[in-house]
Amino acid sequence: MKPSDEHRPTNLMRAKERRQSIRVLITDQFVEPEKKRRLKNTCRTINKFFFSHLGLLLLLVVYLLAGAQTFHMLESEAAQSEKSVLSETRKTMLEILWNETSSGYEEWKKQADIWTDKFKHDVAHNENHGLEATGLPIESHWTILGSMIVCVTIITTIGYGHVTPETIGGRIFCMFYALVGVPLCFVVLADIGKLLARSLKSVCMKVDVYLSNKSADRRRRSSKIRNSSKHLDVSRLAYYGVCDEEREAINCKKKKRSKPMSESRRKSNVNGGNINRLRTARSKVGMRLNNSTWDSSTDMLTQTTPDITRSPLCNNIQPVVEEIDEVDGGHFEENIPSSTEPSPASEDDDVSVNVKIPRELLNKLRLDLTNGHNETGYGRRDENGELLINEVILDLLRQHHPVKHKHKPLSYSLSCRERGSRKSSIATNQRRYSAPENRRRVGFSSAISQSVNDRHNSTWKSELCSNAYNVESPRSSLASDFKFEEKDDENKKREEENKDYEVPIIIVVLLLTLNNFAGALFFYKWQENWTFFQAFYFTFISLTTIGFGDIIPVFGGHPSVLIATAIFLLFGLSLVSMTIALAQERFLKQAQKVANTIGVAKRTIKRRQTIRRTRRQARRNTLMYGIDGNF
Amino acid sequence: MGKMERRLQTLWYRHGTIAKHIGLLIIVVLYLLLGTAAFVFIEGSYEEQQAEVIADMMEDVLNETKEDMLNSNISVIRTVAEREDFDAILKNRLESFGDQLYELYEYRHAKGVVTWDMYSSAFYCFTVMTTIGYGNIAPATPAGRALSIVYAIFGIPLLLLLLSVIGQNLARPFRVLCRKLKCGKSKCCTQQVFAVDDMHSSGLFIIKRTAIDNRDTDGVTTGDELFSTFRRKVYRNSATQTDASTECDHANESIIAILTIVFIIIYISFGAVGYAYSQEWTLLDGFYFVFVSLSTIGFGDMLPEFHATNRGRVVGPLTSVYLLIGMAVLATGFTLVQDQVGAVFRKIKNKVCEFDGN
Repeated sequence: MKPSDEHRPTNLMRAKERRQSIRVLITDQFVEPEKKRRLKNTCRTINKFFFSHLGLLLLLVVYLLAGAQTFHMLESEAAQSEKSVLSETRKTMLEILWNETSSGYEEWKKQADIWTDKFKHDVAHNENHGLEATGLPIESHWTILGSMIVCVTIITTIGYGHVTPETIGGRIFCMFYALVGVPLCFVVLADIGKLLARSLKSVCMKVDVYLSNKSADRRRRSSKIRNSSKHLDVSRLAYYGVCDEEREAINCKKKKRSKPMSESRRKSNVNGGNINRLRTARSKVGMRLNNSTWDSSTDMLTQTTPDITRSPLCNNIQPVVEEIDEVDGGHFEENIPSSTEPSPASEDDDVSVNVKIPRELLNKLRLDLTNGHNETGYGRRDENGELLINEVILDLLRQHHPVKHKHKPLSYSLSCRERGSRKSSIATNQRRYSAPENRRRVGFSSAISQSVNDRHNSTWKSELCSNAYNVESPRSSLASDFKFEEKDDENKKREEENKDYEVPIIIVVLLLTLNNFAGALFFYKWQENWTFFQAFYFTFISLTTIGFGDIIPVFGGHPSVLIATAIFLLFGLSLVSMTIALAQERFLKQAQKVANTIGVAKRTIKRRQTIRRTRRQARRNTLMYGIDGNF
Repeated sequence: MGKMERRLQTLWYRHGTIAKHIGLLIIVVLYLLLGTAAFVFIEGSYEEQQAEVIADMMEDVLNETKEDMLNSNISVIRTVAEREDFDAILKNRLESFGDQLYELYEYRHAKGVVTWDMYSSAFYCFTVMTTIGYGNIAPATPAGRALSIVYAIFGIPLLLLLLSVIGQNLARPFRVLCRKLKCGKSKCCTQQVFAVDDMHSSGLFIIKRTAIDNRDTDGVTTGDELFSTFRRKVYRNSATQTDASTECDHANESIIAILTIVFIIIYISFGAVGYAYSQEWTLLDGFYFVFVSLSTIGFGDMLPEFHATNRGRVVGPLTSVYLLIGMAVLATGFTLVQDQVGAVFRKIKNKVCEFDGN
């Protein structure tokens, strides 16, 4: 009897909430010509470099140089023609003073006052334009290096103003240069800031761990860790190697995620950080298995999603035949259409294992799975002559999932679960498969899904419910994919703590202050007539990008110092951006706390949670990021 | 909870946002006034001293000149040689006077001779808080500089908050407009929520985005808006389940980006024309000033006159408001464009090496 379709929606609802499955995808091997592959690899390396941190910095430097050159071309001649009007004023003043003596003292005084004022203004003008009191230029400000400094001030938006473009062309160029340069600079500095934030976080954490390890209860803590059952939540294995494009525009290396994979655009990668490059697969045959936790105390991978009281039968392993248009470079398709599949939404939390087989085999396999043939020779038939699908898959896994580790063999096993008997079945599993030390077992409990054919249903029921297969299989990359090793367990734990770790704010503030003092020291040592406070003031005004320009270090023909200044500015600014990266979450949490105490946001938080829940249940195409990153 | 309290709470939830925004505005204005008073006190007194010093110098120069003239019995000096002697003395005196002045001005670096009265001081505080930092007026005393540092530390985040608030409020009609434009065509905008706002600090590189939920009556956003100013992520929710929803999102984003850019261009042009007309600059100079100020670069070589006339007194506050709104809008535009550009770059980055057409 075919399970009715109305089971499906409700089942789906609940399933979508919590189900996480491991999907075994079997794709055909696509053999690429060697030369092309090598070309592609070089292209990819270059690509990776350019879009990495270094590449961005390089781009920034190139942009600065180009701007410096252009400004030099546009402005240097005009600047040299900057004349001092002071001598003219002086001459005229002398004339007037002389001539007015005949008019009497009062008149003379008036004229003298006027002209002295003008004299004052002209001295100020000279000072502003960098001309000496006598009217000779101090130095041409628009040398290449000088222009470089101006470019730096433009794109960082500091904008001292001691040297500004005077020509029409210079000003127009300045505007366009800023239009492109300011966002570019933002991006680069934010990128470096994030990098710095990450390293600071890890350093602080290591120090923290070190300090706490020294405490008296180190032993207690470590024993606690060892004895507690490490539940490796398979769902969170999505943490590894998942690349959230929306967050990291630049680099798609291994990253952590703090939320389920629903939002990822299928860049999931199970193999510990390297992007699995799936070749073009015209079709996939997948099997949806349901699985959730790895219980290290019992070495069992058991199901966590509690109840699936959907079907009176045992859960079946549902073979899924999927047509997928294109898979490339570690992506999975967003919507994998399948008539028999529960909605794609539940794929969100999937972790996939990729098994590659030759194309002919794939076709045969598909036939086997859908029609119950036995073309491939995998699997075995039961007493009624029905092909045992599960065995087919298991055989396939055994044969084609390459061994990557030298560990002891891994055993796959299947178990079944009856309605309402979850506990018992798990207990059964555990009892039956309590693993000896040298063996790790993976038990798959299959999920409820609609079976393709009724006959399979009944067959499987009899098969599965009465037996459990204990299949020896070489420890494969399956294990590595799920990181069953102890070491990776700790890694994951560390990464998890990493996510929530907050660098103490005092350290951040201290860093900024130190940066300021360092800059102050640098300028104080270098500039003769600056006091330390002046240097500090200058550094502060520059780093906040206010940039008055009332105090400017005199460069005096030392290009190395100029370059050092530019580098210092950029570094200081990226430190500031690191502070922002670190502080914003804290600020948000603080603000939330404040709001709670005020009593304003309580309702909104609750409301938001309700909405979250309903949305999650609805499983729409959502992209939601919460304030605290948890969703 | 009593009925009265419940009613108050409901009122607060419904209108709390506006109250909060206005409260923030008031706080910023108060902070500005506080800074103004402090700087007028500190720098104004110093400036008076300085002015006295300079006046004394001038007096001295003139008196000495007068003395020389009297002593040399000027009425009878008419020969060229004596004239030249006199000239030489005067020239020397003027040169030394000029040198002294130059030193004084170097320390102050005032672009022009601006006095620290209330308006200048307020404008100065404004330039510090927005990190524009023209530099035409800058503190000369160590006390003033120290105060500037402290003022900046607290004022800059405050202003960032204000900018984000402004941006949110500006984005509402935007969204409405955009939705009208888009939903005229397709049915995919039943429940569009856009991530629109940014909080832009030019100097500190915070480009954040806040979420706006268009279901304002839900009360979801009342708490959100103030505290979501530091959200970094896009908050999008599409009510439809089909693929069309993602297209709708993309299309909406590009529409918003285009609209924002158009608005920015209009805004800048409007300001540029206004300044060029009222200050008698060329149009290019107007654009230059507006652009340099809005991007918070703030060279300070081109500035409107603040003191010229009584009417000119309006220029300061007007400029401040104009620049604030402009910065908020510009920040939004920047981020949106950055999004699109980022998406394009990502596409390029991913596709560039896959040249066997998979």
